[in-house]
Amino acid sequence: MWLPLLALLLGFLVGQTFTFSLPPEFAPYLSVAILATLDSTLGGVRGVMQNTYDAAILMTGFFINGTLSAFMVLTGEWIGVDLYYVVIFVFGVRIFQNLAIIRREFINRYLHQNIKKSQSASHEV
Amino acid sequence: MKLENWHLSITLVCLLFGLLFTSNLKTQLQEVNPTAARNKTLVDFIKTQENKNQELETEITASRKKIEEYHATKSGENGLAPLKKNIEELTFAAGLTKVTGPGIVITLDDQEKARTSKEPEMYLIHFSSILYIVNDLRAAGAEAISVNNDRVVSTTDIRCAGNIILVNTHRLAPPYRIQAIGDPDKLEAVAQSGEYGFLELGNFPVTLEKKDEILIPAYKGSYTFNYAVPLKEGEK
Repeated sequence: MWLPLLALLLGFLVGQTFTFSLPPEFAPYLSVAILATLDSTLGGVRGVMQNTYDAAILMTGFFINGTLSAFMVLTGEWIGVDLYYVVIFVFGVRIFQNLAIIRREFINRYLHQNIKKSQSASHEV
Repeated sequence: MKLENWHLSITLVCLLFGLLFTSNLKTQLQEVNPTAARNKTLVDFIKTQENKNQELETEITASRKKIEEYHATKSGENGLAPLKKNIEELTFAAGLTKVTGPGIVITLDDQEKARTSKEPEMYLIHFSSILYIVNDLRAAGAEAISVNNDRVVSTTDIRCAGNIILVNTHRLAPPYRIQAIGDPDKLEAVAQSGEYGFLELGNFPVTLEKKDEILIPAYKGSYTFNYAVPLKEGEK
């Protein structure tokens, strides 16, 4: 349970200390790629919560969505349309959906269970 | 704690996400200012060039000293004395020696208003002012002129590059100090009637001083002729 969170912290730390900062020209591509990977990560958490988790889907989604969104921005620059917004919109919506599902699952699993327990306990008395 | 199959992949994904996120943060926090970066390289370039100039100038002075030494050792020989005298006269005429004599000192400075005004160029000293004053002084028979300790000789350029005035390709900073050796009264009269007078009328903080003794440094650069070839007498 705590392993992913620890890994996240470790990732932050490693990124803070070791990663080279990319040249500013790459900033927009990396930004949308991060949006896509955030969606994938949250999707993975959701999968765990809903017991539909598939490691292959998570990993492929993580890398392919990340690269594809960066390519989307590049294509947008080539054809002169801000496809940037498409990526932001799609993954923004999906991030919120994933978060909403995670929240519901969390509430169902822990809060309502406790309520049921307390209710059943009171019934017993 | 039991290691379930989802632990590992999600851990990896989280690690990668954290890594990407911080590196992006770093990239975004970088100073995104291409003009500043370009300016910095240009400034560095100018600085190295100026250092190079200075080195070359010291080299020139060293070479000149060496030449002088040669002249000194050879001066005892017959027939060379008049030549040596000739050379001395020529170096003096070319502005390659320090000179002293009576003359005037003019100082020019930008107006205070230049800092606050919306049109600062109205209140700044431009290269043209310095050029005109030097011309006025020449017309008044000045025999040696220097601007901020840079000798004005026949090849001297007085120009501007951006917001900086260059004399002999040396950058000047205000206040500008123009020294001229010649008849002080005449120099003063001509300067007053020319560009200097205009600047004075325009409320620029300028001063003009007559002095009995002014020291003007030697020209530190070199004279190079890449295209001009002297014609011997009798040709053409």
